[in-house]
Amino acid sequence: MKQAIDPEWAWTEFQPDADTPWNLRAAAHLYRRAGFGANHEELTTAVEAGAVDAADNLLGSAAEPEDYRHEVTDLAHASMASGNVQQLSAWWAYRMLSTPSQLLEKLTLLWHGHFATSAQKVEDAKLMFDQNNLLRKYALGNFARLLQEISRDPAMLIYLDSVTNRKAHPNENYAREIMELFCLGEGNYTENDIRELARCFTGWEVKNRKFRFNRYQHDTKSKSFLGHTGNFGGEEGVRIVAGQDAAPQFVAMKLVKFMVMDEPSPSAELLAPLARELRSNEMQIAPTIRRILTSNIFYSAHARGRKVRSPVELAIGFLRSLEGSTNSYELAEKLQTLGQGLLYPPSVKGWDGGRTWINSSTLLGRSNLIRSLLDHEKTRFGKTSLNEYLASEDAESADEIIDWFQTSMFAVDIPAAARERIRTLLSGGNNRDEKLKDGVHALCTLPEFQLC
Amino acid sequence: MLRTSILCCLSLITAADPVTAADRTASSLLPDTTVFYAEIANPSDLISTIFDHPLRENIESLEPYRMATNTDGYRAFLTGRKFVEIQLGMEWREAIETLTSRGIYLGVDAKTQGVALLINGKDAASMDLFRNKLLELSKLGKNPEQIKEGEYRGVTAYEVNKSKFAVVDDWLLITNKGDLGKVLLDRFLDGTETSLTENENFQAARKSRNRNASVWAYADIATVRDSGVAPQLYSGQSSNPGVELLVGGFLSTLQKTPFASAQLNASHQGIELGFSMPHKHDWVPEERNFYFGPDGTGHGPILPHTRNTLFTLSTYRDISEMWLRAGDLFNENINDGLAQADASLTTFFSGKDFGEDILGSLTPQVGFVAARQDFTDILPVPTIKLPQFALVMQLKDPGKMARELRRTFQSMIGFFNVVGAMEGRSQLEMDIDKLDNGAELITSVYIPDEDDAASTRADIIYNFSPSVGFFGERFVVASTHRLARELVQADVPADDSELGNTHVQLEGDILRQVLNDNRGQLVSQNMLEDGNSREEAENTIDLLLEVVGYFKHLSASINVSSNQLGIQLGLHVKSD
Repeated sequence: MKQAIDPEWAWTEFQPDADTPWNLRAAAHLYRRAGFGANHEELTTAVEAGAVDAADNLLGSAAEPEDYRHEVTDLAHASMASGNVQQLSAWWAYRMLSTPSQLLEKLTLLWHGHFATSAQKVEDAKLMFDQNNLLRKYALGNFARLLQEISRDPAMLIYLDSVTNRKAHPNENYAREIMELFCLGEGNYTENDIRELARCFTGWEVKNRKFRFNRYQHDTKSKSFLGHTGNFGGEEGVRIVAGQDAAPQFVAMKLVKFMVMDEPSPSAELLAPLARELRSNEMQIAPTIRRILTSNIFYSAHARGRKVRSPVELAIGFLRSLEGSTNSYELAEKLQTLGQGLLYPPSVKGWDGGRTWINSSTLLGRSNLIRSLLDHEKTRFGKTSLNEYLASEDAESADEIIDWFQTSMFAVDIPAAARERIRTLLSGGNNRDEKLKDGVHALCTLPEFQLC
Repeated sequence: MLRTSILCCLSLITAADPVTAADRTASSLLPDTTVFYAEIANPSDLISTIFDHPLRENIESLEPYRMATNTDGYRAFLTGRKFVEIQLGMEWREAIETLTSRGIYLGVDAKTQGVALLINGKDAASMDLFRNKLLELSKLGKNPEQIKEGEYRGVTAYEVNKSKFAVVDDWLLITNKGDLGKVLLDRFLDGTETSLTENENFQAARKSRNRNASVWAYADIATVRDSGVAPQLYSGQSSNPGVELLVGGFLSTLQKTPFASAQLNASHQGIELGFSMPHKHDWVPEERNFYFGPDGTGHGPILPHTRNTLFTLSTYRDISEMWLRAGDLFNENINDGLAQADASLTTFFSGKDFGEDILGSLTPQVGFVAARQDFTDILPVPTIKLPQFALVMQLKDPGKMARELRRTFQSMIGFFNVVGAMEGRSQLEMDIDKLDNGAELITSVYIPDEDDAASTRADIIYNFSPSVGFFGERFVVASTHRLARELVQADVPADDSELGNTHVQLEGDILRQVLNDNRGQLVSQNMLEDGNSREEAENTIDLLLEVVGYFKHLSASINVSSNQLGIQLGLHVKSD
């Protein structure tokens, strides 16, 4: 499979044809990957715009309207007033549901999993909020700059037990993680590089919830790592790491696995054009994202239905596609139960993703999540009931409803047997609301629905 | 279905015996074994109070009301109502007022275990009209055969869905038990059997009835108690210190009292609901002297007046005595917990016995005050703006205890600072202030970080500046130094002889202001809880604020005399 993908073809701009048309389902694929999902009106607009312009529109809308940013910032401050980080988790769920800049939010989620920091340990809503804003600020910006900023982020340093770093005993935690998990990947550094880089970070501390450089604890002697020698401080250390050849390759791998496919792991050859593009753009992320979203491979069978929906993609995608709203506190709790608590990644490695999202336990949990969303008294679809919403979408008969869901929410076709079973569910009984919920629940628990 | 509903709601009328019953009362028709009785003597007044209320226009202009009355279901209801009105030849309100002109009565009979609803109409002719029209309507229903017809002593009775009813003269009698129905008719036709009217307890309860009460009710507590219903309620024991503090005295009275009565007065000014029951001080065991006082007339204090008062509680509770008598009042588990707390608190108060020395240094007159905080000239301003609150107590021996309490408060602030430092929180700075009136304040204030000093979104702790104040016998423990200062400076009327055992009051206007102070927070919570947009959330919260704005105050009081124990609840609204 790896060898079958020609890098030049893969990253060439997508030209729709009879085999791979630009239609509602292709647009839905774009929105599922570059966001969480879109309603039919948004999909229709995207189809009318064309594949490239639709991607550009997503990139263009990544700058959030000022009013919206003020509104959600106020909401965050209100959420943090009690100091309960769980409430901030609910705030982020609300933000994902309401943002007009889906791509920005999706990439913020990517970087949250990449620079994983858990509120479980940090226990400070304000620090988690600041870090979340930092990730959003650079989500489509300069990766090297993001790496610099996150290296001084108090929440990150608390999470990695790096609140103190003295020259007598350099703390190697952050030096290890920045090379292994954040920027280069295993095999691109040595243990000695870690020790030397750790010396660069000496004197970096967190005091009273703020970053502080303690010049008396900084090792001012010469350091030698990754082919560079000098009296480096922390900033120079991060710059040297970000300047490694392995860095753009590592970042490209992250972007492709997040946006294109879980499996197979992209080859170095396939990633090379993106890595070159990243480097030539001085590690600016947006141009590479654009190239991915407008590429042949993105709309090919290598990508479509080749990712497993994460719990966040499952729940937020379900609601956004149906213009849904619900109780964000309970939604955030349920996401945590399913293993993707917002602001609560399981470890410094973030979420493993891919097939690990699916097992017998999580399948049941995913099914229960959809059911609870459907049944919750606060859940509304387009400000109304599911019945009225689907009626407004001209999806009233069983087949119309199934087709509607397949178009906007399914990456692959619904099998005939499943279609028949759901048709029966949607047609039976007297209570239309209940049978609609039963039918939609059955649709969303199909194995095909778990694919993105 | 339509017919059944109409039958259930308004009932049908059948031919009445030519027995004169104008002087009958509901209590004379109910047997003396009635354990619960309730009456709405003048339903038209109650209807008028509700439907002619000055606030009705305001409520009808609210968006949720408009939405609720703009549904298919409500429109169907209006159509059905109109249809019935046409059949009856009068509007619904006139119909109800005619049908219930002389009252609605409810009785629960212990002997037959039946429930009876007695409705006394305007006159026999009106009831005939109802009967004829509603019988016609019922025939239009789907199952006219479900109406069963029978006769008892010449009176035609009907049964629908296990409910039996009959009309005699201007009375409509409805019951769920045939035996009770016969009892009612026997009393109606003969008028010789013993009835509730002759019941001594009922007569005694009746004496305290306000003739203008919208609703009046009576319960035969002795019979209910003896029958074994809700044994926990009549056991005289509670398993919770909070419940004991709140209603411990009532539990003792409920063990002995023969009956209880309640009355509700509804007017354009609001609703007042009162419960009362016979009470004797002898019924209260010694261990509950903490509740009513040794002579049974303990009363709460008059509280100093503060600005922006949101809530006040004034009560008589000898907490020291309750603490020391806990072994007689609570079970082993509770006592184990209290013993642990006693040991910890005794340590905290430098070895002074908490129950005897600390609580015992206070008189049983306890006050609690909560007031809105005004942050106009204060920084930092917390995001969540909580009301300030204080305990207002009296020291038995201020010369001896003030020093002890002052030192304990200083230790407590030191403890807060140590814990706060460990958790990275701001520190409290203490100060002592001697006021011109001789009062003394020991205050503490959180000192914000430089970054937070001018914040208007500060942490919730900036609602607090724990302080204590001493002024003569008055001892104040307040959440803020401002409230403490106000409370030690405020004058208190000297005469507190008219006060009851307990009185609480919540002020509507101040509550609205407190909610309004937190409007942004409430809107945000609504957005996250209900998934609303900001505009929707603002509309919801503004509606809440508007509805709260209709209330003047909510009050509750417990009053005890040598022969009666009562609770009065009041909800007062703005009627202009």
